Amino acid sequence: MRRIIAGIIVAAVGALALAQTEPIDVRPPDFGAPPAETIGATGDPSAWYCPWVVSGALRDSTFNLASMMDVNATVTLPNANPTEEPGVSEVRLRGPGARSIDAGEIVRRGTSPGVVEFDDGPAVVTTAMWSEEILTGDRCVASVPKEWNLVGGITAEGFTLELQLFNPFAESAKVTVEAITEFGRSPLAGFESVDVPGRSWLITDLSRVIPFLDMATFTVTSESGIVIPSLVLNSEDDEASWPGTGQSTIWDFPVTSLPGLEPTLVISNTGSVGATVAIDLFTPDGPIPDVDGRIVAPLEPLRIHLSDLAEPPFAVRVRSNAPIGALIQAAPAGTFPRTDVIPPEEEATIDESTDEATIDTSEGEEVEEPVVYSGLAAMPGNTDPLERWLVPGLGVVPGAQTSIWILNPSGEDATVTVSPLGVSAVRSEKIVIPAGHYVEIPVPSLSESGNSGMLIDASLPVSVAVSIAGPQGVAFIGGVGVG
Amino acid sequence: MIFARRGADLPATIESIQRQVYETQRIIVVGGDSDARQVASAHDVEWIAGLGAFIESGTDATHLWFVLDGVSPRPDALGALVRGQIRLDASVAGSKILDEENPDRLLSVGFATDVFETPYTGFDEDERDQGQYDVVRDVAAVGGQSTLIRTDLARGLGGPDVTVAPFAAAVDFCQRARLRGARVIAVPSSEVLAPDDRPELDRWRERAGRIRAMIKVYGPLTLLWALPMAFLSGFAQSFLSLFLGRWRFFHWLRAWLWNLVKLPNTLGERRAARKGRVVGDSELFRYQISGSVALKSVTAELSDRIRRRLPGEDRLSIEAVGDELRRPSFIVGALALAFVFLATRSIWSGGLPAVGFSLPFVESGPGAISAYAGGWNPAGLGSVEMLRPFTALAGLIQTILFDNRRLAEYLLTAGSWSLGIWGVVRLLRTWGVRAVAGTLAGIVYVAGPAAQAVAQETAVGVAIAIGLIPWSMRFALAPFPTSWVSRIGRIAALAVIAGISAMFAPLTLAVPVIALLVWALLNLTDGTAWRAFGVSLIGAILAVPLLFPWLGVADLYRFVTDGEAYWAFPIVTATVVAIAAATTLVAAPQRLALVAGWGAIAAAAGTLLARSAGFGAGREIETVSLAVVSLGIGLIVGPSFEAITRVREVGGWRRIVAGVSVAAAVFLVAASTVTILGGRAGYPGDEYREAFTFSAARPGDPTASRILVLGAPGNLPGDDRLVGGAAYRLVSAPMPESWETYLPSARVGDDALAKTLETIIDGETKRAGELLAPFGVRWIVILAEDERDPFADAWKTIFVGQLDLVPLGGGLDNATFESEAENAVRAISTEGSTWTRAGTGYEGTPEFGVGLEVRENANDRWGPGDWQQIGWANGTTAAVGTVSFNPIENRRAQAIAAAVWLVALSGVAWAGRRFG
Repeated sequence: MRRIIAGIIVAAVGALALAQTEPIDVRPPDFGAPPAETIGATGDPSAWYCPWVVSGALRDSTFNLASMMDVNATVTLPNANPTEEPGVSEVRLRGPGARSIDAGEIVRRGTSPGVVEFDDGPAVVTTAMWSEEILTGDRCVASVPKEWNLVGGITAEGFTLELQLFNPFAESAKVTVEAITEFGRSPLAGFESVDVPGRSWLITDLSRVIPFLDMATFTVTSESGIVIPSLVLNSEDDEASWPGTGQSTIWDFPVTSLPGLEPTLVISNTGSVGATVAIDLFTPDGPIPDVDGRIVAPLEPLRIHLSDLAEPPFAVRVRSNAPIGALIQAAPAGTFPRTDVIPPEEEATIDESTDEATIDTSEGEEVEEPVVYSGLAAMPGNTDPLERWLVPGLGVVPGAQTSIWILNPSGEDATVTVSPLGVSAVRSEKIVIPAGHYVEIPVPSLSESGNSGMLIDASLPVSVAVSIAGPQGVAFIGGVGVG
Repeated sequence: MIFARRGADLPATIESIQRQVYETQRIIVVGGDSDARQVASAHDVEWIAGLGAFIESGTDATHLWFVLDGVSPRPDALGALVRGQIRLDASVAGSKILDEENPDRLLSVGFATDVFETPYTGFDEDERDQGQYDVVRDVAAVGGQSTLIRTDLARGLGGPDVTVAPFAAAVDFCQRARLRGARVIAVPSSEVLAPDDRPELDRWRERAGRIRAMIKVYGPLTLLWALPMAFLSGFAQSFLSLFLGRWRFFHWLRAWLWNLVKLPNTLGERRAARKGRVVGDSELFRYQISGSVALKSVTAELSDRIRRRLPGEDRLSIEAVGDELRRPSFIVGALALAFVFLATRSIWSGGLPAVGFSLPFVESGPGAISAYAGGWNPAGLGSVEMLRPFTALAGLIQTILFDNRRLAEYLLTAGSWSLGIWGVVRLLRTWGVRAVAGTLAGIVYVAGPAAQAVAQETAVGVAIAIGLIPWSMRFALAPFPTSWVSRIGRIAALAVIAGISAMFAPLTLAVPVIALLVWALLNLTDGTAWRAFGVSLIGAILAVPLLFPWLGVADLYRFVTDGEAYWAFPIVTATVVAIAAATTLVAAPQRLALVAGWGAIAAAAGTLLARSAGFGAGREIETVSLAVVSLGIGLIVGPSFEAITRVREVGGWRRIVAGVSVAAAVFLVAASTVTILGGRAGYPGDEYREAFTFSAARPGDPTASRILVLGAPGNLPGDDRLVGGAAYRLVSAPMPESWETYLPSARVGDDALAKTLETIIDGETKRAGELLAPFGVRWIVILAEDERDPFADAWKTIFVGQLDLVPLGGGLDNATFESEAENAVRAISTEGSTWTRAGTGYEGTPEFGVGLEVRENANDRWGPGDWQQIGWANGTTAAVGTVSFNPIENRRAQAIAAAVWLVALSGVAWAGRRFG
């Protein structure tokens, strides 16, 4: 009897034990995903990586800082020789304020990519670099995705293209670089797994690796560690540089050209399906939506000569139904090869209108000879219109004319307050930007105004960029919004 | 002089002396209690309390005849002694000693000794007296049963040493006599009958006396090597005695401890003994044999047993093995010990593996005890929260073992296994299960699937406590003594065992009580079962105070709910256990079947509890429940093996079913033996030593900093905390110790650390090293379960992008970063000098008038000097060169009281056994 009782108890308890279920597995952590690319500055401490800075016997460079708050900033220029100390400069920035730091005052040893750390924010950084022959500048980056896109490469005759891979971190990085050209995906021999030592950088002349290409987009993927890539394009006249970006369905270009330069838009689709792209132009006379629309096939980068669509100047918005990369490049007419085919009718129309314009001009009375620039400029667009922008690095290049370009892509008029940042207490100005228009605000040089930055507050989301143009060359620098 | 020391037959001795042909001048009874005095009075002989005063007072006798009570000299014994002594001009003469129960059996005719003063007669075990030793000769010593001594010598030497046991006293006296140039002879024609006292030679009193005798007579150089050799030889003998079923460790230990206590007195005696010596140690060596007599004796006995156990040529081996299965066997016991040795060999060489909740014992045993008794809990950023009793007990054992933590780890592990196997044998003997079956059940108990699960969970405390649980039950189930003294002693002993077990793993206190309650319910009308339950309950209640002060302040809810209790048992093994249980329940005789049924209930209930995460049960409940499962399986396996040997009771179809049961039990035994492969007592492989000890090779003192360990929840050393769903915790460099296993509740510093990590995770800084430096974090180690561990990947993503963290390569298996930030230390003076960890406190260069920041959770007991809170940390002075946590007096008092209670219980247990 007792055996049976024991057996029953065992069976009952055993069945209950079997019925117990395993606790739910621990969910994966809610962090650790590769950071999405953000262009905006946030109200937190931040570090900005500026991959293309050269300060030597021929070139000068500045780190252009602007902040909304009182911040301490540390500019660190790593030394490629690990046995030597990096160059470090610490500055105090009263907010809202702006300041430019000459890289040569920290260390003057040629290529000097740097890191700028802020202990508070929002604060942003751009760079400007010039010599007697070139002028270029970049927006620095604060987010470091695992995969970068570099659109707008060209290795055709007359161009040299360099890829700069900057690793500001202590850990060595291992990256893979792939190229997408007009011939599709092109493997880069020796770039399958490139080691970039910690706190160092690597410069590769892509013109030697894949020469004679009119169109090349590069993807840089980190297997381990992190790098900040940028492309540096040299023509006979000038140099342009631009950092790697992510992809987006909207790209705004508040500035696309200056007098004497012809704007081209480079679009690259690294996805697996074609992207339907529409181009809106914002001319002084008003917006021209959907001035061009086309399907950009995967792995087929495309260059569009925007002057074929309308007479510059104008701002541009590129819309797409799939994430794409987009870049504006401007240079004197004929600099960039034509790869897009224009239908004969359109060509005739354009020629006609051009003729008319020529006639109109010739018929006018005495016209002041406009300033014509020669150089090479390139700029990735802005992905998000924002209501507040910090624009550093204004008027820092000697002898060059700096302008801020503000695009109001919305359907309503935007009231924009422009507040200079610097040592002189210039009053803020308010301007109204009509719906679908852009404005250019020329900025006096730093030596004249004492101000090297601008805070832009808008009643509606706008997009901002900077142009610097002078006898040395031309540079377009994307704005940095305050998120 | 009749020494009444043993309470033996004093009247018979007096009468036999009174019958001597060579008449004595006076007969004096020396010592003894009032009974001895009354006996002396009744026989009209004198009585004196001690010999010293008598000798000093002066006597006209030329010789003294020392006789022990219980000895019966033959009528001519004294005459022969006197004649022999005078003829050879000896100072000491001893009689031939014959066994009083078998007068033909020789006990001694004088003897030699080894250098450790152990007597050696050279006789076989039952050597008969055929006159083969009947020659008067010089010897090293004579037994104390009957000795004739010149009075002047006795006066010079102060008589025998009454503080030591008889054999040792006799050797001691003879050695001292020989040191003075005296001649010691054995006179075989003088015969006395005496009880065989030789088994006493192995007891602690005799051992202690021999050590004392060595210290008294040998020169310094001889002592320099002889004492350590005696120590080691005694240890070896005690160890080998285990194979003979004799537990001699406590005798060995106690003998040395006794000498330690008596050392001042012994040194005084030594001065007296060596004063006026006329010969050196070489004379003492003259009648000594080489080596250790005790060790030789044990090895000879072992060899003899092994020889006897080997099957003879005239019998079939199968038959011999069958015989072996039916009786308690030396071979199975030896195999079990060999199994324990093999299964724990890696712990001997490398200590407990550092993995999961198994961390190396604390470097300083006394430090661990102090930290438990009201001291600082050094886990994480520190706390006043109590350490678990395990820390104190492990520290105490380590302290006893010369503060050798690896030895402590090994002895606790291997000792627990040995005790567990032995305990199951004794427990199952309660129901007539014999040694072989019991030993196999014991192996399954300590190394079976459930016990392996305990080890895999790295529940070190429970794994050690497993060795004690069967003893708690056995003490409760064993026949209850008749005397009240013994009963009280039994309950006290039970309380001691249960208390020690509970200190290792508090929940194990309930295991024997509940198990015996179930047994009583299964045997509802059996009074002894209910009595066992009652005894167990009382013992457990008496053991509760041993858990103070931990019990008084611990968050018991958190204790039982931390972690998740879910044991994913192996289906195949569970099925085999079920088969073994069912078949034993069906086929075994009633009593054995009930034991198996009881075991099955324990196994099922333990499994239920070990999987009861759904009811909120935590890790502690799971691991203790696994111990219950293991006990249950052991209770199934023992009866299963036993049943098959009951040929008369288990026949017919039952025998076939019993065969199935045995097959299942064999499977479980085989499954248990896989622990031999790793040699780590079932624990997982070491993971943390390589992961953390790299810090010892880095510049600077690693003990000045901490390591931030990151990974998946449950994959870090001991407890962890969560941020963003991933786990982190701080450990000491270069290697965390067991007192850091369990993290206390988060305090202000822990909250600050959590916020800092959130800041880092949110990407609000690129200088994580700088933010973590104030927490003393110099290194960051990311532990990955495998290459695709999403938690490790997430942490890597965060820390790879930091500007002031340098990844360390060098073949490290885990992603490891070193901070470049300055002052990433645990304690730093305002002048910037770094202090290093010393126990739970810190030490550094004294700096007068300089403050010190101690980066432990703020508590005003940190000192010395004025304390102030610096953020979440402590500010004190660097003037003294050390800082520490001032213990909480109340807790310390409770800890001392608990220790006193343990000693008191042990004393009562000993007294109950000794006097009951």
